[in-house]
Amino acid sequence: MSWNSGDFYNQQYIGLTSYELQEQYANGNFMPSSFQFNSQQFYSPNEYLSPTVSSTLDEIENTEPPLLEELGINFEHIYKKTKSILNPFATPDSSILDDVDLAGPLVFCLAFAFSLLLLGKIHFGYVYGIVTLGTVGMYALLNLMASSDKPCSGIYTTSVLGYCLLPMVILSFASFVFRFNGFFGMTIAIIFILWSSISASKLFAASLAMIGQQLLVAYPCALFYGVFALLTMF
Amino acid sequence: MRRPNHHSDQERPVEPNVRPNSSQNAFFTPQTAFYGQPNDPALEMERLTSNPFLRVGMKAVEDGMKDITGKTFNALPDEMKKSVSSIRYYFAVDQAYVRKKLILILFPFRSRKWSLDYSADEPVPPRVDTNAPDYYIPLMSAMTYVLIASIVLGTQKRFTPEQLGTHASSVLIWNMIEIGLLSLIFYICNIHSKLRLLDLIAYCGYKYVGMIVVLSSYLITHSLLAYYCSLLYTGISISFFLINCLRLQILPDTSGSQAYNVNRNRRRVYLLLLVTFSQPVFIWCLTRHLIVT
Repeated sequence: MSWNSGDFYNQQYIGLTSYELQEQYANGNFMPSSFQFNSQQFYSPNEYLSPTVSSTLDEIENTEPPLLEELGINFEHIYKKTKSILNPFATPDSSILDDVDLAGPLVFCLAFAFSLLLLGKIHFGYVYGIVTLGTVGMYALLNLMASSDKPCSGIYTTSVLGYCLLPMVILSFASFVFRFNGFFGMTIAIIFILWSSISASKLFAASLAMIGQQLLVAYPCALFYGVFALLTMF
Repeated sequence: MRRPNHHSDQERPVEPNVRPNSSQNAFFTPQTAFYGQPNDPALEMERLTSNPFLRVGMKAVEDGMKDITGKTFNALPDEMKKSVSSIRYYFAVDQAYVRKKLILILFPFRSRKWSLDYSADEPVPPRVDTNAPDYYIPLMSAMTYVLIASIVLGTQKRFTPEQLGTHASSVLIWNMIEIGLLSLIFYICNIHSKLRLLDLIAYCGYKYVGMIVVLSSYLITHSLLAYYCSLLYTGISISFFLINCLRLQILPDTSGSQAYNVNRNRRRVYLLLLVTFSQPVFIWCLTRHLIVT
């Protein structure tokens, strides 16, 4: 990571010194040696597509990363994360633990707010406020509870909490189709809340190496998702 | 500028943190004994401000101030670093501790040992000692209270999402009023005890566990009788729990010269009783508006 404090201040300049740069121009060359063309190569038409020129074009194409990778969208990771949430009792894949991605959480939050619209409740502001407060609170709690050498960033907590909102989105779409009233509705809601919070706490505990604290992390997640269930039910 | 690399434990020397004189300002006492690692407060702030732009900016501000006023000052004061690490002490919990503490709050009548363990003059973190105060349980139970109050209102068809905010802010404000009044009374009566402000916040937060029990019993049974019975039982258990916990903190040691301090001793007893018996009153006050006869 280039933001490590040691590296940032101790970087060395790698490259040509000014003396060497000047030397390149010493013998009457007006271009540095790496760009020197033999004049015959430069003017003859049958060497327009010469291997040296085309190989440099190939190099330029090969050094550019593919578009999706540049945008940071990694479908493989998104699929693996969604699979790990849908099965809360499986151990998470270690490759996805450090991946931060905010597109998924954004989609899920918007889907949840739209499903509330189907129920006749316009609660976009409340959903946004709860997500913000919950994420900040979770970030503070995780940093205070975990050991000092494994900090977690706010973006990572947003990503995990947003992805694990998926069961609540399913609950709210289901509550448009069925009507969850009374005791039966409460138990269904509790099952979905437990599902969300177990998957969220599993991801947190695995990536922050919290031993014997997974239930302690699951409980605030359960409270967070419980508020969403509350918005859905009442 | 060289900074310690926090990934190599063997390079860092184990240094005890300098503890300020406890009679001056007990608020910022750093805790050193948890996780078995040296607890360097500078690391906490460094992690929080690991953004190099922030550091450059802070340095520019400091240099600017030095040019203007001719005095050097540190933009990130040491006390902020120490207070973060002293709050971390209260979050060093694990599942076994939370379970035992909840059972202790709701059924304190069997426990015989109430004194805190100390190691090297610092209290041991809550992971190790069940009697140590923590912030996890009060915080979680306060938020659970907000949630359960909203559920109760929802079953009575009185719920709007603003109620969440109303209850959360009432919890915060009542807590602040209570802690402020108690600290003021401690200060006015000139009582110096081993009880620190941070510990007092923790002990005053345990009543939310009682509130949750009261509200859930009302939620499940919908009867006033269940509400009042659980209120009575919870009041008794919380008072018993707090009297036993605070007795060792507020009342002086019996080995001192007691006849000289008779007046002050009585004031301490009154203060202890005030703290413990105000808790059931708070439980009743914060739950009665949710009960519909």
